[in-house]
Amino acid sequence: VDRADAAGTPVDAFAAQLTTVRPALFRFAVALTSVSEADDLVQDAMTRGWARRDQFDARLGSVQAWLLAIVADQARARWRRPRLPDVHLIGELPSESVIEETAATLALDLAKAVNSLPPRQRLAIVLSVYVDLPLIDVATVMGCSLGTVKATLHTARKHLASALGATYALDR
Amino acid sequence: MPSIDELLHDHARRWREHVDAHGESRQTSSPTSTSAARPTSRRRRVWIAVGVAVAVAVAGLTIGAIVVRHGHDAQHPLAAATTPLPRPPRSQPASTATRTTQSGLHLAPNPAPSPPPEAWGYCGNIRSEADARSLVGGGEATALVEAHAAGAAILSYRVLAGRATGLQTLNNLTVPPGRYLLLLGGAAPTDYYAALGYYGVYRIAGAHAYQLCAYGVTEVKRGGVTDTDRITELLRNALRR
Repeated sequence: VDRADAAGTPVDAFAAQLTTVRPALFRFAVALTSVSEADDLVQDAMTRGWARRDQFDARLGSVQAWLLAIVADQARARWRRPRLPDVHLIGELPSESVIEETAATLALDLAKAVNSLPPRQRLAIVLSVYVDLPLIDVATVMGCSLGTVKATLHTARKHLASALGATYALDR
Repeated sequence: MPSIDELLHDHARRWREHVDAHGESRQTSSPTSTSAARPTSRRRRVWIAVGVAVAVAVAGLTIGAIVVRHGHDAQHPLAAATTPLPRPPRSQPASTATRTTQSGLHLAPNPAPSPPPEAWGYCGNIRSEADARSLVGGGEATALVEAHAAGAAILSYRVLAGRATGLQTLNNLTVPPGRYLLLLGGAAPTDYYAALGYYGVYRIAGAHAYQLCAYGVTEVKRGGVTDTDRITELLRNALRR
């Protein structure tokens, strides 16, 4: 079986990379949409990436960063469409889950603090901390330098500490 | 007291565990592969609740930053990845030896296909809508019955999804001219992309139906929601070729 496609790219190699980066894509997709929509979003993005893999330029960033940008673009496209009925994520938790009042309060405060960040800081936090991307990939997705990402994260953490510190007496 | 870094990273780690469990369950279709299936401590459940709540809250706002930065920056090095896909080339026409059903559907000859391994869940016994409904929900069943009557081989995503051997199996699978293979389900990454590269797999309509076009069918059809009439129409169009 010829395992190279018309673009001359070894199919197995690219498929292996897709499999490797999929968890990060899924996390990012969940952060952008929801668990229920993320799978389709990742599928669409990976399909697009596969079809355009001959346009990938390794000098501009990793495959992961390239595909993350496609995920973002796909999410943006979906966002413009009429939204499908939302599925409440809380319903996907085990039925015996107990949400304590303190936990709910912490979640609310944490969400409020993160959401109150300026968009660039919020994006940096999500990509770096939640999606767990290397900083260089964060820089590629955000279209800025590594130094700018570090500075943005530093500022974001200061804002979060400032927002939560008074309530939870966080170490500075 | 925890620092903001500790709080964030601890929360993010638990959030990732929760999200990855969903991702794995979609990829492997294994009921035992998700962390949600494991007994959870009270502390863990609390953190999961925190994670889910923050994920929901962050989701809507994060996309705004992407839109601002990525959507309007034509000079961004990744801009090429966001342009529309070109229409794929039209492939060889199907066999000309067709027959016509009472409904006017032109059917290709129906040679025996090379059946996929049983482990793939080859669905060769779809004789009625009830059979089809055991595989898919709602109105997709009607389209499946028609597709099967027209000679389509149908694989169930429930066993196909996430199988590491799927790539090789697809490579070795021979689909005769005039026959069509339907991959059902949206969680078969490796198989899905391999098929895309070798044959051309395109979503037809709905979130859970994919069409693998071996010969004669290259039209890309995509839809946001399941549309029975649309699926049937697409299948008919495909089978006419």
